[in-house]
Amino acid sequence: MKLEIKDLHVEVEEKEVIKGIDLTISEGEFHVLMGPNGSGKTTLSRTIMGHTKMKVTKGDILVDGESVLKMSTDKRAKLGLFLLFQSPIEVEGLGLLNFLNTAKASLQGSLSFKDFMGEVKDNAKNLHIKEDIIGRSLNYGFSGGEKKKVEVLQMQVLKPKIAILDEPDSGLDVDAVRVVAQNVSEYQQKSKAGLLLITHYSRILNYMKPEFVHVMVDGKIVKEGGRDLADRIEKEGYRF
Amino acid sequence: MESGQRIVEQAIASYASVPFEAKELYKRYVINVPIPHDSGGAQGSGIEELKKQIISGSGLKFDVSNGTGGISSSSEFVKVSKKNVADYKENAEAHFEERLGGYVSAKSDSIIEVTVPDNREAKLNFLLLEDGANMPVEILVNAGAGSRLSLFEWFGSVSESGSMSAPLHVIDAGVKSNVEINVLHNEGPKSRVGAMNKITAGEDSVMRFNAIYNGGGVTRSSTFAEAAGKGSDLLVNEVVLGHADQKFDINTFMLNSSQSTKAVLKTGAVLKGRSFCILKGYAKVSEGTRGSYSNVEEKGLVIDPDARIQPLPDMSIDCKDVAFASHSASTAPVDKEALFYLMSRGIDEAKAKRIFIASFLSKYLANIENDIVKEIAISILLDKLDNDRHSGVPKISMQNLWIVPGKR
Repeated sequence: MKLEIKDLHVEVEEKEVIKGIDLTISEGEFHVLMGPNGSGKTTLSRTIMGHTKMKVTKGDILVDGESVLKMSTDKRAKLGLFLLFQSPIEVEGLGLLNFLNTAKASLQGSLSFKDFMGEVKDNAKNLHIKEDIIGRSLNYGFSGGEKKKVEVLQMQVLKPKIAILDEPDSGLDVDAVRVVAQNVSEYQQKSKAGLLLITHYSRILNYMKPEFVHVMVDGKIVKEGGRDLADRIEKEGYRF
Repeated sequence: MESGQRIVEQAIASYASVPFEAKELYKRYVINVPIPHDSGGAQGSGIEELKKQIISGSGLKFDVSNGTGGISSSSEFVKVSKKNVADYKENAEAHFEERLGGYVSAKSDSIIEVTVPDNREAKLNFLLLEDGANMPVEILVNAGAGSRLSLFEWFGSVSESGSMSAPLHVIDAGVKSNVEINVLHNEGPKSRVGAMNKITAGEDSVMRFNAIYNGGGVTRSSTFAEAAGKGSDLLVNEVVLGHADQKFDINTFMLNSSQSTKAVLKTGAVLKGRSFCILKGYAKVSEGTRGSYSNVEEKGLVIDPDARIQPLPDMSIDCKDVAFASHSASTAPVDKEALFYLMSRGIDEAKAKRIFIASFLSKYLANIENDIVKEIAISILLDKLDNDRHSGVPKISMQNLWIVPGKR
């Protein structure tokens, strides 16, 4: 699977936030997108998933050569796209297991309950998610760290081909960053999925092996390079 | 019987002190529910068929039910006493509860008395249906010290019935008792509901009153719930689901009247079509109730643009040393960010919306301890959401229980 973003311009509430972005992510590739606050990283991730508030004014988003701009969010997910949310929504009353089971059935057809539970439990254990968490309402009352881990759990269970991870490390302690990074890396290696990891800090990259680093400032990609670019940003900031 | 009648009269009189009619704010928001003057008389034969379908669909055994011949009981804990109906002349000047209570008291021909002796345990199911005739009924519940009671009352009507279901509850949870009362009103579009609930939680008791209002045409409930005994723990949990032109006026007065008491009111309303709901939740923390906890929470989910909800939570705190006291209200349409989140996991929009609404309802249904009641309630509510119609006997599905994420 290949995700191509071509000369993308996006407005949010009549303000241009993305000002011409080109980016291609193929299965198996690991990209990192860095940038200061307000540079448009989250807008880009939500646009790729088809949020209706993000208005594409120019350019295109293609999956395997076909535009997805007219596709609803669920159809994009069915193609194999996944977004790990920076601030996951809390839905009190919706059991996490029920939600995840429904989502999995929507994407992959039904799975035996035993197999589903086995998959959830194994991944939850690797992510150090407490057992009571998976029996609770979706993200409701979860700590910031628990929410991020549950987002990774969803990725592992739903098995996307290309995952956009919007700040999976923000608000996590050192140990949790390591656990999240290891689980994401393991998923990518096993599934050969493409990853676009959005982050402010290079700390998470200590446990991962990104191939491409892109720097976004004011709605544009202003610099591209390898892992060493992330280290340079950590030391010098975004003064390009 | 005389004592039962006295209890009812005292309960009706106690409503004179509650704020539903006295507060200026509340006076502006009233849905008029016409009170009939005639006793119901015999129910039509439609209830026999509906009863059969409910028993077969739910798999429940009902300890108390009514038929064309009246109300009968098969439980050692329930006594159904016949009484003479009396003349009823409505005093137009009196407040609503006095008028409704007066009507029920005069015109019901039976009193249902539930008595659970000290340290005994009872699990009971009632099925009280209408077909054409009004149904004023007095239900007195007395749970003895250390007893446990789980009571489920299913009120329903055949779809075309324009009658009124008017239950008047007087519930007394004894010292250290544990009482859960679940009342389901699954009413047809033309029927009316006028419900009165006087609840008293004794010392160190745990009292749960869960009420589900699923139609009919017009519903008004007046609940007066008192955490009376020291250390009592009282929850009133109300769920409203309205569609078409249904109207609801839900009045609930919570009172902390002893030290270290807990009185919590949770009300959730989901409204479709042109339905309208007023939520008047009022809490009073009396003087001298040190260490008490009081909370009123009213939430509304408005599905269609013409549906309306008016939450009016209010509180009076007359004690300086409470542990917690708060009231809140919120109403909102279906959250678009939540839909985006659910859809990003491959769930289509219609299903995501259904999940969101069901989750809202589940927050309240999760407070019900009795799993069978929870299952019946979620099945009935989802059936109405999915098909936009009243169903006397929806398909009960364990699959739906999966939506409810567990207990409190």
